[in-house]
Amino acid sequence: MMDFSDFFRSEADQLLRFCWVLTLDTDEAADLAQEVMTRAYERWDLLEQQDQNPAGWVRTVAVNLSRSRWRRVKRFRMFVPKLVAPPQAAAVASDPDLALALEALALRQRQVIALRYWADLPLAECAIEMGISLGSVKQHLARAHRNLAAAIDPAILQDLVL
Amino acid sequence: MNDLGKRLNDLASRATTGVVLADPSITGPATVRSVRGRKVAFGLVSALAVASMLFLWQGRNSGTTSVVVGQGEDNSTGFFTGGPCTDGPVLELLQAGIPTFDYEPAGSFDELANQSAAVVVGQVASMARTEVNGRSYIEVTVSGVFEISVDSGADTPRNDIEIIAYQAQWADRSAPDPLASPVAVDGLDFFGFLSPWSGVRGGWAPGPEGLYVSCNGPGLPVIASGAGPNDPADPGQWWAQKAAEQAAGQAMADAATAAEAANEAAEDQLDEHPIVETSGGFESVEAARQTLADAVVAEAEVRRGANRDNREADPVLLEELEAARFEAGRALWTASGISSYRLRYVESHPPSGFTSLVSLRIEDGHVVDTEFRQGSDEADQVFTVDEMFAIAASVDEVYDLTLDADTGHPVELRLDRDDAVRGDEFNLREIQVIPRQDLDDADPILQDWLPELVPLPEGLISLLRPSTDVTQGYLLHANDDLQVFLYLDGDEVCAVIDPFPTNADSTGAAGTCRFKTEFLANTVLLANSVPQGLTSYLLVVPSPDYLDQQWTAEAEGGTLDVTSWSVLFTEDEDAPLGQSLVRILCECGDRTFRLPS
Repeated sequence: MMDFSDFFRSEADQLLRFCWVLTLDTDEAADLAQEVMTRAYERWDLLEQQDQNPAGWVRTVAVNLSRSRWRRVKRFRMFVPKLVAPPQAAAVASDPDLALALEALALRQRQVIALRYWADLPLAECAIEMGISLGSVKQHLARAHRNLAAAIDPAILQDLVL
Repeated sequence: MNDLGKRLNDLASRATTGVVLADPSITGPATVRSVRGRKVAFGLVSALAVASMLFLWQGRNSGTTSVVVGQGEDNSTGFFTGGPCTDGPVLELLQAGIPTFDYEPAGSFDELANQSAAVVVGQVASMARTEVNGRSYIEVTVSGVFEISVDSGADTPRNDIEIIAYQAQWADRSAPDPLASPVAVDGLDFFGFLSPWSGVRGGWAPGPEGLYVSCNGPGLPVIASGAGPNDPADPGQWWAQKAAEQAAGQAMADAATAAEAANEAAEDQLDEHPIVETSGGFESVEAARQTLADAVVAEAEVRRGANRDNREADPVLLEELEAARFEAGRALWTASGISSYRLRYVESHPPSGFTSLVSLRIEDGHVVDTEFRQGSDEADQVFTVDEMFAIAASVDEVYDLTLDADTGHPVELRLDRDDAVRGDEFNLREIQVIPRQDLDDADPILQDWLPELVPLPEGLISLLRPSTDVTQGYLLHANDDLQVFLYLDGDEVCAVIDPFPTNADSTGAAGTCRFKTEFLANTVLLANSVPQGLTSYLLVVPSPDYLDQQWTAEAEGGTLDVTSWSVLFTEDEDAPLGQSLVRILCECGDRTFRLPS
């Protein structure tokens, strides 16, 4: 197994982007990714000794921690009139429709989109990373598809396969 | 990666351009984190270390095996002579010349482990046939050997185990012995139940059921399998299950320890302060938080392992792990000491379509105020966080349970009260907790920031009357076309936009509210649409935390300094910025809003 510095060099950017898809906020993503990497470093001896899959480990931890971060960011938006507040302008400028659609997704839907389409994981592994049943993953993904389909060109979703 | 994945990646790449994470191996972990109680966590992780020895056993191999010594090109015997590592040829080599054994089966891997002096994993370096005192043996030279122990939950290097030998005589005179010279292999794992045997070189031997090898799949018995009727065929899986069971037990023990510590902390507080006003001790909360995080990872590891091996995870084990996570969450919630809070959640009953958006005010653990969002169903029963834990513990089935990593409270619950009854399934989701303390802490910050309190226009007061008795507010913005007020309503900060200030009845005004904590945490707050649907507004209220920065609103129509506060609106010919997509620029982070039309 590689040492931590090699792992960090190869995975830090990937993890940062994954965290951004989870949070849609650059600062939050950086905080989250930094925290996850720090935890990985603190446990590296064990991860190495166990020959675990550290990329999977950091994803699991990121998904878990993003829940509490979501609490701070999202809070009670559902109780106020719909506020369509997309993420960072730099990203929005490149793909505003997708950014807006992502912003409107519930956290669980965003998590499953991040795992299924960004991390390219099978549904069973999405369930593992999210700590929920396969049935629930399918439910969240179906809802996410519906919401994305309403907000972006349906043709984009044509090749998405459950 | 599909098209959507590529678009996601492109978005994420652009949004994170220029962001560089610090390598903690260079900078060191943040000092603030060094005070965390890791003792509890370490116990669980130590147990997990054993679970993950499975990875030493299988999954490490690169998938290639090469013969470097002793084999010519002649493959007439059909034995392994090189190339990609495949189990069959390797087994054929290791089984060449093994006599028929008469032995008493152990009956299970557990029993086999009990009968063995050491249960080990490692890599096979080479194989050769040798003679000792006139008997022929296969000697397997091994490296990277670790002994794995159920009792201690730890793995120990065993540098003293270098050769494993078992009896095997090459009797086929018509073909050359493929192990006449040592055959070196690279990347072949083994799993051994070993006992000392002074009659062979190296001093260690497997029983007939005690040696398994693997190129990159499940472990296969070299001589015979010791798997019992309830064991998986692969000893690696057996071991992973045992280790995970131990991890589950450890997690539950840790959760109990954390809960006990939390209770003690709470009792101490009660002794000193009859009313508990603050959260539990920092260290106990951090320890409970770490325990929950470890429980989440432990469960994921078991599921991931099962998925990797293309098998169902042991349901009994999973149930234990889920129970451990549940208890860890409850312990964290207890340790957090949050007894007064605002709680909001959605209760839904999928079979009937019932949906209730519930808002509760809870003081000292008791519900003192209940509201249901207008238009939603009214639930007969509402739940505090403690009651959510209680009902989750009492129902027949918990399909899903997600816990907040900071405070342990449920974020999402999917329950079935009675699995013999159809249609009684229900969900609690979007569960949000705002501690009373956080809301109270927001008050002085807001009071310092808000402008002078002024009377609200009579028309506005009348318009707001159905929902609040407020008569005073804070004028944020005024011009000939509109006025914008903030007002405090209980735990919330509300904004109201009055587009026709000259109208006595404030017809067309629209407002929205959010909790004070949320108001302080966000930088650009409110968008709203007049009910008649002709005009939309974006209200820019720079957060008090960022008032020292320059704020600019940018749209196709131009830019506007909104450092103090301002209003942008669209879908209206009088709009100063006739554009639905508006960027708010600030050093604290740019944001773009699409106004509802």
